[in-house]
Amino acid sequence: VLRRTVLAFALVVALVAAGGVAVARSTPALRASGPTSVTGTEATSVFQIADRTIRQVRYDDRGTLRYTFRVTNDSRLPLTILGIAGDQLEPRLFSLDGLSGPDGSGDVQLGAGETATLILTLGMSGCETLSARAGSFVTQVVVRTEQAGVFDDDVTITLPEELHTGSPREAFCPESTATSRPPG
Amino acid sequence: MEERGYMDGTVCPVVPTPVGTGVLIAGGNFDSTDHNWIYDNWRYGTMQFWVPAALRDEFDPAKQNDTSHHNHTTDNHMGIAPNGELAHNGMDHWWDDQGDGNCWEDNTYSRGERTDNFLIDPAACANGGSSFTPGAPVKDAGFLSCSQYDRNDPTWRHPPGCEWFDSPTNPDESGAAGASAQQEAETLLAAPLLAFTGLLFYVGLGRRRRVRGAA
Repeated sequence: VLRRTVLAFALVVALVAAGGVAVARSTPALRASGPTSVTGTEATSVFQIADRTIRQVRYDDRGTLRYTFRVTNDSRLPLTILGIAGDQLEPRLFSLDGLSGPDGSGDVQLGAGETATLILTLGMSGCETLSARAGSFVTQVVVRTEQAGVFDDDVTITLPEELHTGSPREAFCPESTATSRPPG
Repeated sequence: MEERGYMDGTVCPVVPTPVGTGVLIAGGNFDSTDHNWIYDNWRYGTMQFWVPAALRDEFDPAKQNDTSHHNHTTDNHMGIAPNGELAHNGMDHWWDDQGDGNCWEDNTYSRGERTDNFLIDPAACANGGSSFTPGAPVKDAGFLSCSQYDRNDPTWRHPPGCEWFDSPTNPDESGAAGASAQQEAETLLAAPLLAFTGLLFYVGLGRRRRVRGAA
């Protein structure tokens, strides 16, 4: 009888523990916010269109843009941001090259409710095949996360601003030729 | 011309424009649209919105609201063909309410009165037209999302969030802007699904009630 009681108690404890982990453990939630800043462009400004906040940056062919913003872990558990996930929408003029902390570290650890600074690194290229009046947005980034060293999730972070650049005129798109981009 | 296929018929536009729009003023100043027959445009007869200067690589803060001002749309026949036949526009005038000196007057409308989306009717042209307001927060002309258009790229040939390239439906007397053909198709598809879901919900409730009643 004692053995059965102990077994039943252990089972109950295990179930409660598992339930607790299941309740605490859910898909991580990451919220981005300002202040924001960019480097790697000669000019930038922020404006509103309807309910959208746009961060316009001047395109710099083959240049590297670094977009700095803050992110808060709204989950109940600590997590580590491991970097950019493989599956992303690919904008025409940007490449998502990396994500790091302000010190350049690839892994960013965030306790529950904590906020940290992230730097999104983007390459700018492709204007030679895009009309001069067209543009590209980066509005969100999917990141790989890890919780408790066990649970891996891809989490979408919506950026605090919609990052946008425009395909420049031929004079500022050195790889363009007379026929490389659609007329426009 | 020959190489691009212009002579063979319709050619995909390079610069993104909203399908079914008669006159588009995107960040223009001092344009006069007058004495035209603007009809059978299933989205809008005329469309006017401002474009922030940064989008054309002008980053001077003092110049960011330099469009769209002093555009006059007057003495046009809206939704009426030259032979007198009525051919309604989806909506006669779309405007984001932004800019100084804009006015619409002395136009003739197929429905007897103009259809528009103006939140505040601008003053008469002689009185200076509209007064500057920032672009209305509820009015996204769509050009930002649609500016990602790239006809050579299957993904960006129809950018996410861009409705400009969806063909509107034929407008009717009511003046309601026609939903896109795609939206209409989705509605047609969704209706039976919703009905089916509703039926499931109803059946589920019924079953639950019976269970409760039996308990």
